[in-house]
Amino acid sequence: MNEPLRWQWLRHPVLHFVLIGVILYGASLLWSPSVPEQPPAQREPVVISAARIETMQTDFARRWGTRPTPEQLSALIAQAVDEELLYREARLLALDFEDSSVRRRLVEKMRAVSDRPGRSPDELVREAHALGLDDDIVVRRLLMEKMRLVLAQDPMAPPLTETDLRDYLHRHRDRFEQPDELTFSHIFLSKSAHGADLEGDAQRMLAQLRARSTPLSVALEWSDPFLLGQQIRAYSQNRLTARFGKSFAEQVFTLQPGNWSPPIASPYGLHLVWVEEKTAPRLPELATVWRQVAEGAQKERADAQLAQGMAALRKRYEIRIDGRTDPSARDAALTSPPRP
Amino acid sequence: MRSTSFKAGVLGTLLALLVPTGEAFANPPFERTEARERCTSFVATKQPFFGETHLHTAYSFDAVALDTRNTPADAYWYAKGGRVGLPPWADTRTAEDIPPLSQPTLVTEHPYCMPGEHCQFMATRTIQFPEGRALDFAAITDHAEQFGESNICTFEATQTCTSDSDCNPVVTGQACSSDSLCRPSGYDSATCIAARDEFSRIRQGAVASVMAGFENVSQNPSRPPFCGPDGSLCTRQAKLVWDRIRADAEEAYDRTSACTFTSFVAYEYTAMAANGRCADALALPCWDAAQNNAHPDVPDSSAPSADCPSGAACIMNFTGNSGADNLHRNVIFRNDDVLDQPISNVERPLGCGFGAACTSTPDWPVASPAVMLQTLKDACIDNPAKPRCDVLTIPHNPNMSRGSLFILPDNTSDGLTEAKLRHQLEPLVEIMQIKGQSECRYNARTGMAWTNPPDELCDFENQGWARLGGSADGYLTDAMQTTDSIPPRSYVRNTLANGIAYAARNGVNPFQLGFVGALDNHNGTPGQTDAQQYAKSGAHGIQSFATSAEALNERFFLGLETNAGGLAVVWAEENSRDAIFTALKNRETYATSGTRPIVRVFGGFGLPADICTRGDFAARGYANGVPMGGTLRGTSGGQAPRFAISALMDPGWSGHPGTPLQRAQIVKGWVDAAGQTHEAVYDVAGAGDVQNVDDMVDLRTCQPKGVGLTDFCTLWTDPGFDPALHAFYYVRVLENPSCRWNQYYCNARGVDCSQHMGTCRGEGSSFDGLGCDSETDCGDAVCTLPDSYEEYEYTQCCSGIVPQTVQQRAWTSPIWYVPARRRPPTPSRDLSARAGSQAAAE
Repeated sequence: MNEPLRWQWLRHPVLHFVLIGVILYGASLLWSPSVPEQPPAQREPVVISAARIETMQTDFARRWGTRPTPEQLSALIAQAVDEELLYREARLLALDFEDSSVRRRLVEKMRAVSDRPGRSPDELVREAHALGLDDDIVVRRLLMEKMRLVLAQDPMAPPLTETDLRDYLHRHRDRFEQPDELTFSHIFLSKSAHGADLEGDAQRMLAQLRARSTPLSVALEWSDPFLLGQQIRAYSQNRLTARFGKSFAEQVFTLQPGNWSPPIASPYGLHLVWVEEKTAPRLPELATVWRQVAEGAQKERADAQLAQGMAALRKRYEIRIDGRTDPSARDAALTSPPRP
Repeated sequence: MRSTSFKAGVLGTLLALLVPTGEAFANPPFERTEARERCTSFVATKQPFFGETHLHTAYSFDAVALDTRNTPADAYWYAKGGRVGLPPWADTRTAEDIPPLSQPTLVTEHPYCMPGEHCQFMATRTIQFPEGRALDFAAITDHAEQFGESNICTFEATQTCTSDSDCNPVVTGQACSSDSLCRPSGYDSATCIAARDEFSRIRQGAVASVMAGFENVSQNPSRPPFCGPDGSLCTRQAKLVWDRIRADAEEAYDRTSACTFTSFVAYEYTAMAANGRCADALALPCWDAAQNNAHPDVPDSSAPSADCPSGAACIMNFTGNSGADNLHRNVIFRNDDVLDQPISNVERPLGCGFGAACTSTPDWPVASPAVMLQTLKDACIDNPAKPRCDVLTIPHNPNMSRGSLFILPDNTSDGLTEAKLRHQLEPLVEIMQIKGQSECRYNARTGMAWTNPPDELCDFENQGWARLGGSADGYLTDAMQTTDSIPPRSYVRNTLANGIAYAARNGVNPFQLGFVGALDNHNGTPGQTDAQQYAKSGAHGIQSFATSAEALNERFFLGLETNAGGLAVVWAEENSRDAIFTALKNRETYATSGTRPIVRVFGGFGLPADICTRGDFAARGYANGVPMGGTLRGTSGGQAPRFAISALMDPGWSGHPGTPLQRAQIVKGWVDAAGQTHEAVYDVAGAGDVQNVDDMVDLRTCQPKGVGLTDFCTLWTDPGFDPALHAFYYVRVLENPSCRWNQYYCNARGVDCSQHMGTCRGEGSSFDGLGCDSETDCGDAVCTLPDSYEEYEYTQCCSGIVPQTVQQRAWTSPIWYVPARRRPPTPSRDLSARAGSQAAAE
């Protein structure tokens, strides 16, 4: 108690922490010189040489029988750049370390070139690295594929929710939408029953229908019996084509509801058609297409992630393309969509 | 499902009361066993759906051996109207093609790409339905016996490895092979190496056949050694394949309200009867897997056969009679609640039938499916762990079974049990497929008839191969085709008669068979029945007609006597699994020989006389009768039943008009009081008088011409009805003659039979430029044949021995008549079940 108050602050824990911190910092300053500074990753510029471009063009010509158009050439260059970026980055991240596929390839190659068979795979791999055999078209392909997978993954992304799936379903209406369906009634005039009078009979009947505005149920009694019935219910155009032929289906699908059509020919005779209902295109319940939607949404997310990753990669490297000094032309070549 | 038959029985009684009011079809029509959207196109009076019930893909060992790469997924894609590839494939594999690490596969996917694209296997030929001809439903039925073996031997590796653990062996059954790729254990076995070597060179599928020779036989089936001592290495792979087949079916099924396509999980049970004879006094049935047929009536080796109790060898080389009795069945499941693993012939081989002793009876084949059907029933229909499981089996090609497919059960209580089992699980028979029709048989060249009286229209797509496979001496020439070498029960009409004869005596009909048609094609292209395309594609992978001169060789097993195959048509409320399966089960089906006429039949005592002239054919048909596949029960009045038949011709497709209908016939079979069976064929619509073929089809273009029926409807009353006798009635609708596929083939090869085959060539000869058929026509000049075809082809195309045209047709499932009085004593439960099935059909 008789200790002077002015020294009491020396016992305060905050001071102790600060002091310990200072000492540790000092120690770290003293120690660090002995640990070599991690050099920043060296990313050499990516260069697509004129010779490389020429090779691409001749390869293309050999496969497709014609030289690439400027757009095709741009796409080829963009693809070559992307592949180079993927490969370089994969090497930088040492994705080939302990990779069984790469290892297998190297062992295989080394066995082919080596004059001393029967050595251990480890030895062969070491020697392959020493000889630079690891820059190889197959190893490249493997590493690019691996890098794509790395880029496409986003471990932080939340799992897809039902809302995400619903959103995907609505954004891809064209893929999931059910075909239009038509419900119609028809008066059938059988070719077998009417013979040569078929066309005339049909025209007379149509004139009567239009003149008297006959009720549908009465009008349908004028029909010859038809095996598939007087009312054709919820037929898509495909199904109508299958049962009545293409030309009939096309004509009926252009009709508007609430009118008697002119006679329309099918293989069986003539039909006067009254369209009752044409369903608006509709989306299925999410539950019935859940798997396809989930797969699609998953893939969409991975593609976006990959595209983002590729864009980031392109910024990290200087890209030089021979003969394309004009930056806009170069950018045009690079904005082609990456290979999925 | 357990109480279905009881519920249906009660329902049936209620419905029977409702029938006169015409409301029967307004009730819930079929049990719904799956979660899915309702179909917008639901029609209570039902609509026709065209489909496939028998088809092979690369998951059948004999198909992948013929270089077929289409999987069930591809087959469904084709069925829905997509384009798929056919062999041969441009193989562009290089040593540097290593599949990416990211997609290891358990079941080989056999990938390929279309012409113009670049990949390891590029299709050189492709095929697609014309617009409007896609199918409504399909069941893909690969051979279940070799699911595992095929995946092991033909696996295409996708994953690299350094040790076995990289391959996740517990799940995949794969190991790291010497070239550092994951492959199923057994891949490097001598059998698999031989199989692959053969595929790569001659592509005849011999190793696959030999394997089937061990696995598909009714006597002691066994898996090859590489499957392990208990076969588990192969059954584990089979499970992976089966899972894949299930997934592909699920993927293809449209569960939305558009109901555009229905797939079924299915497989083929590929059994063959033991049909050798032990070389001893008893001559019991046995199987000799070697089948060398070196000397007639002498065993191939003296090695004792496991099937012969005396230790004698097995003779399986009866000249002109070799091969195997075809006893195959397609097994189709109602929904996705299916067996965990298919029950193949290896698990449940054919037996003797309940209570029968066929293995100790000379001349009696081992051919009863009773044990298999019972197992299927226990594992699926009656299995409490699989509450939604339901299944049916469809036997096919009785025409190649040498009569073994439809052997009547015994007249004992054991026999009766078997009869009920077959009645319940086998409601249908595949009456038409690429290897011939099985309705009835007639040979116009010898006048030999298998029906009484002879029916000339049965001379249609018949096979000279009375059994499946075998060597060339198994082919029966015209003179060898007799009712001895080809028993009449090989044909469905005779079998139906035998069935009602058994029912008249025992109260249960073991062969109450409705009809479907199918392909049995091994290309993975379901429903591809167009003759013109068949002339190019054939049905068996690399042995296609575009690449093989064997097309016109009748003795070539897959050649001239094959046809483009048939279709199955069902009448169902909607295109969903429950609706179509129920239609199959109730036999509300018909078969076509490949074209697509629409045929509808009702039978009943009270069908109104104006049913054809006043609309509402279907509503009035259901209200006053039963549809095709149903059963009529006798009334006390004993009046004769009427049959209403209505049909529309095949509408064809753009640029390919359908062929008009020529006539409809009713085929009636009955059994008299003495148990004797009879039959009669009645023309009931259209023109029976045959016009000149040349007036109905242009043989050069194959376009139809002349007159025929575009549609018809008729009401027929049986003039010879006896209310006391069991009977069946089915309808056969014939189209006008149209080009058989070989005519398309001949046209495509440029063969013109109205011209001489070749041209005389000789400088300065007076014969130069004249037409010739042989050197003798050219004097001092030489008869040169055209470049486009060979002399053999000209002969086959133009001799008139090979039919240039056929009458395509439809066969509707029979309607059975069961007399009312003196109902034979049967267990009441069975009666209620049958009343139930009748009611459900109503």
